[in-house]
Amino acid sequence: MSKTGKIFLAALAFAIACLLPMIMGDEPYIIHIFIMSFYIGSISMAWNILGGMTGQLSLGHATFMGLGAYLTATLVIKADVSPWIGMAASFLVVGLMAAVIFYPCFVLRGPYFTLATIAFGETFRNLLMNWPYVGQGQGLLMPFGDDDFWAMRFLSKMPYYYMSLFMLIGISLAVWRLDRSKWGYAFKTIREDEDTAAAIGVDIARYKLYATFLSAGFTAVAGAFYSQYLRFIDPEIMMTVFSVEFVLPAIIGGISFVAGPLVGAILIIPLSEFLRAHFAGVVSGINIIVYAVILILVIFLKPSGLLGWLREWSDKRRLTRVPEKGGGHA
Amino acid sequence: MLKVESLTKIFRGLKAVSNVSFEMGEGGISGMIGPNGAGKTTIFNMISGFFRPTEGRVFYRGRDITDLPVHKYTGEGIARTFQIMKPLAHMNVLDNVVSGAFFGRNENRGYADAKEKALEIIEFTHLADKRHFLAKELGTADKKRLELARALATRPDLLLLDEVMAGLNPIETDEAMELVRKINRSGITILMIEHVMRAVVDLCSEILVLHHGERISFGSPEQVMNDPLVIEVYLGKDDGYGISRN
Repeated sequence: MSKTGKIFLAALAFAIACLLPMIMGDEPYIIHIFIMSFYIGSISMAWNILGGMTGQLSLGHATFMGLGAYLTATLVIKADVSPWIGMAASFLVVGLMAAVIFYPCFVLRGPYFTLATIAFGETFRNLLMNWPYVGQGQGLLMPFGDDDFWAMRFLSKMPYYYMSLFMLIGISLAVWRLDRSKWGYAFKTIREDEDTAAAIGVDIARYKLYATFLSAGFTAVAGAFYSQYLRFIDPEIMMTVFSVEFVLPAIIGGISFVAGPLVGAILIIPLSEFLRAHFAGVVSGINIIVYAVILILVIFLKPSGLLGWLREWSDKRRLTRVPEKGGGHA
Repeated sequence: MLKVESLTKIFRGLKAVSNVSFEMGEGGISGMIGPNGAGKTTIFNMISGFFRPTEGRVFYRGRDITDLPVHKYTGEGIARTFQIMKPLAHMNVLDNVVSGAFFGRNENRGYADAKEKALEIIEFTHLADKRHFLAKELGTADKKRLELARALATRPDLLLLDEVMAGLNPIETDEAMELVRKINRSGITILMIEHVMRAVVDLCSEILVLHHGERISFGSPEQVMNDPLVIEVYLGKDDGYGISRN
């Protein structure tokens, strides 16, 4: 696709996304599905910095999200700090925490790194489960009250819709910038071959640290949003299954593409919600079955994801069209 | 420019390289030859920081670089290629070279600069019409060229080439030799490991011969090729008829 075509498409999608609530009217359930799509899309996007760009497959992102949610909620409840500040604090604190904790794990390659991230997640979940200050297993409930922008508290879903939309756009723009930067190239070089990366002059440990910081930080921001939107959190939100849920949109959309998680989230989450809402009475867990089937199909047929498939198709078309453009045959 | 002093590498009791010293000046092309397992790549790995020598030092422009972390070498102006090609498989040719152009001795610049530099090098290495191909889709000759291009993108003064001509047909070898010459003419000093004798003799002004991890000869191609020890290692004992060099 040409550059102007892409910009046009992005602008169109943005306009539709902005106007959608007005077209849909007051349909809290539909709006909720969109909010969840944007929210999961944001985290999938953030995951992709570490998982897709740098090639370090993490299954600990539910924990980064949960830590962001807990940090923000605790600040709100215990210290009456605005969630907006909590959001910023989550980015820094959780990002740094993840970077420091994972630093010794960077020598682990492939599945061993993934195992370390699962262990990391379980550790923190159990910690919070048993820590009375943050409510142990009962979790934390946000204070009730009237609509208040500063407290990120609204009765209607509309403000959350726009918040999640702008969060997704913000993270997407950041990742898009990153993709074309020195950092981005360092990340991708590390993913492809660590020896080559070192031979070019990439300090592998340092750039893995950066990738972890950004990925965990952005995920924590989404976690902060989650805590304020659902207004209730408990240690369950850190279960590894949720980490898997954040990874799927990226894999289905295509992990080597900046827009991969976005495409995946927008297709897969409404589908999953729809199936759950309409068929849960008939076959419970149908959404999970369909998830699994789609995932298996993607991994078997097109590991590069939907966008990979799209690119191959357009490449083929372009290549077969070249002779005509070249002005006849030789 | 590069001075190697009594370099030794022992892998768990196996002496891969033992007490090798040599020195090379600026601006030339030097070669390193020897039978398989002679320790050529091990020496390369020590010069480029991938292995730490068991003993010995490496000096570059008078500075001891032996203990430098591996990612610092391109910053010093030393770049290398790999014998077993390591292209960034899922990135296209352009992005492969852009990666190099962001690092090494390039100033910290934006994407537009890096891309411009990369395109120049892609042109220089004759990869321009393949710049949108994924690296894994290239044939051997182009992959070798891509290794060169990526190393060149870091703007080295000294380029270490590990068998860039292995696996090429005669025509491709000629092209590769021409490219190496062109790189050298642009002011880059080259140290190459090569099995293709025609290329070594043609390109190199001095050659280091290794056998069982030891230096057995060093000098101009004529000197080296007429060294009885080299002849013995390559062809067995001299039977009195000598060898003819082609």
